[in-house]
Amino acid sequence: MIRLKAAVRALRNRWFLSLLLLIQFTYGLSTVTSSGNIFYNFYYLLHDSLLDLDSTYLVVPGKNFGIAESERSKYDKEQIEALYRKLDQSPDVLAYGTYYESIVLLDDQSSLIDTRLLEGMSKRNSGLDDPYIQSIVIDKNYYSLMDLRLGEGQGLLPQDFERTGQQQVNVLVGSYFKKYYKIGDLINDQYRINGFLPDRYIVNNNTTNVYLNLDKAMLIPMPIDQYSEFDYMYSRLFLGTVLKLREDANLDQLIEILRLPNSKIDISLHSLEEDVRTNIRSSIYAQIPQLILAGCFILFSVISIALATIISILIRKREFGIKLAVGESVRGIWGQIVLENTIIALVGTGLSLFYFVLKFQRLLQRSSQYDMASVLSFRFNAPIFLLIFIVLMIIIVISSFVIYPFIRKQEIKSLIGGME
Amino acid sequence: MRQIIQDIFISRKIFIMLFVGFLFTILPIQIALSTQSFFDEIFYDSLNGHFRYYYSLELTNLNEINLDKLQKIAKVNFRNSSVITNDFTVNDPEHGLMIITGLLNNKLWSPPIFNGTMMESESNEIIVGKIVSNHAGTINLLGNEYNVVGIAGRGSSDAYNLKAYINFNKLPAPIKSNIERSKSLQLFVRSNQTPTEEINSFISKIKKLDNEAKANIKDESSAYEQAKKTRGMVKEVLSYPYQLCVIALINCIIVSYLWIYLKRKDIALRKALGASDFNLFVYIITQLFVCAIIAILCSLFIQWFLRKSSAGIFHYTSYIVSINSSNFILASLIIITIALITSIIPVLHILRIEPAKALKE
Repeated sequence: MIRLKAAVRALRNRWFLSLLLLIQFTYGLSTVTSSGNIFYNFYYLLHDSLLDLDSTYLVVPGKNFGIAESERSKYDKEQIEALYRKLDQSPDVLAYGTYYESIVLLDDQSSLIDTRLLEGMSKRNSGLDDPYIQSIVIDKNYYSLMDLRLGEGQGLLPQDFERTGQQQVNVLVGSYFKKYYKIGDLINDQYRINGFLPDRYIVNNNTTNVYLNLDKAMLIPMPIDQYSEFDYMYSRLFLGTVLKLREDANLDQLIEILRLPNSKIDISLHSLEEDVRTNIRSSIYAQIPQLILAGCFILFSVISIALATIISILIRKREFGIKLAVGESVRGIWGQIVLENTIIALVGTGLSLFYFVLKFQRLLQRSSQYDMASVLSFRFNAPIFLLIFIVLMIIIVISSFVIYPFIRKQEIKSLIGGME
Repeated sequence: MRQIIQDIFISRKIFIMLFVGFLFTILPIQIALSTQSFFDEIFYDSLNGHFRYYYSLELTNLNEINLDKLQKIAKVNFRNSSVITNDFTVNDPEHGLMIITGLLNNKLWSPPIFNGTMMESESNEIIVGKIVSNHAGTINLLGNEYNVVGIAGRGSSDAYNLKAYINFNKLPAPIKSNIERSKSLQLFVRSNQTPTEEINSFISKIKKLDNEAKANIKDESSAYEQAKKTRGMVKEVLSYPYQLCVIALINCIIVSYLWIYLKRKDIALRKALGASDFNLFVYIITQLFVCAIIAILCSLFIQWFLRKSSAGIFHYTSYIVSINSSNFILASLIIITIALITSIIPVLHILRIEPAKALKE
């Protein structure tokens, strides 16, 4: 405690140097935090997809998709069914399915719903004031393609895909709901929870590189009336078809299969892995300036801390000389210096986190509200704090080892100076 | 000078640290300045050209609206100004999202042409961005056929990629009918001279044709300037070099602090032998200037070395590396300021130092 007080007093005495170091830490560590977030997201995107990245391909319409509306009347349900039959027969296709994105408004009048859940599911600035659950409505094929490994008796049942729109149905929800519901509970008196989804992400839009985290999401089986209705089928064909292909599949041939007869709409098949990797690649390059800044911060903060400590020792050499003369060890002096630097580093960390929150306030808010998986989904979690801790340790340890030989070299006589 | 170089050599470790600090201060600033001027150009590209004055002219209650007549009046009336319509963002079924701009006159300003020629007035010709079409030929936009004569674009700027420039009286039918239905039209008058006289004359001519027409003029110049300053993405991109600059500058200040502390006895001796505070200030600042000049030369060399990869660096990182005289002059002034900031602590020490006390330590 005495050492701590002495360290704080020493920092106060050299307030100008302490202030400079704090500014350095504030800017530097906030950059490390944002870079850490982005690299964490890279890892998450590559390793936590619910769909198998290697084999999953998404149907993506070209920029002339606007003509789909005028072409719609040229086709009928049978033609789309014939197209899917061809997919069934193709040896390249291991599985396929369709989905669409939807929202389920939570019945906020119901006393059964926890207010914290309603608060957690409210998305301000979304244009919708009522709390809602982001949902993916999937057909039976898509559910099989996902190959979810849930507990016994859990999951969606074949009859869930046979119901019509308003009937009660089994659903799967994200882990966020575990706090409020258990298996068998009903949401809105319609959706019976029959399993919890793993903390992964899923494609919720074939045309973007932002995905949906499943922790606050819901998977709903597609009602039979929507599954077999032409308009829904036509839209899903272009915007919600997901294929699981074998390695070296002939994509050109599959694109031809997916093209309706005489349709002018351009279609392409995007590998989910390639989409994710392209997204990551472009973001990695954009990270170079931040990485340079983070590297320079570590280098300059080590130099600054070491030099500021040397200056501090030179200013207080009589104090240290007397301490050594009355029996304090070199290590004790060194410990005192390390303690001072640690205090600076910890306060600097606090300031840097504050600055980070201030700078990325909107991004953090959006990430927590919309719960999307993208390279810019900023958050505070254990890996990010671990990274900050590691960087801090690197700075403190290296600067401490730089200072140690300098302290050891000091002699009592030269430190005390004119007092002999 | 020899004495100064000798002193720098004696304190070489300190000066290496100072040099690194100066280099990492000036290099990011130069890159930030180049990047900022590049993004400013892109910003003006998005406004369809860089002018001193921007005015919006909203015409409403146009009962006798005729696009041909409007274009003719504009051509005759605006001799020192460029007049265009507001951007019409449309989703063409064949070409996807695009931004159509009608040109009422094109003598003072025309979009930069990447490939091909500028269109002739009164014709069905069109200039498009490279995403809309990357080759000359016929194009169908919103049901109207046009002849692509030029591809708009400039360097690495992507502001023109989705654009389409058409003579005002040849705008696609859905846009024309929308204007006719709403009986209103928004025009932008841009000029390097105050265009208010030309605008007023234009309005009076319109009112002669259609006496119920109303016009609302608004000076947009300051709003655009404000919009330029508050671009989030540009602020984010520029924040990193400036942060690096602050971190390096702090390092320089701390190094200079140590430097002067180690030279206390030397300075005290000089003072005791009769050196004035001004002489000592010159002695200190000259050494820092020498270091700063070496840093700026090194920074220029790095930028010269990287200039060929500038397009690639921009593509991957959004930063521009370029050497131009105005940036160089500005950067030189900044490095002088940084050297002066770095010298503050040494100078304060010189002023405060008591030779007898310092020599006794």
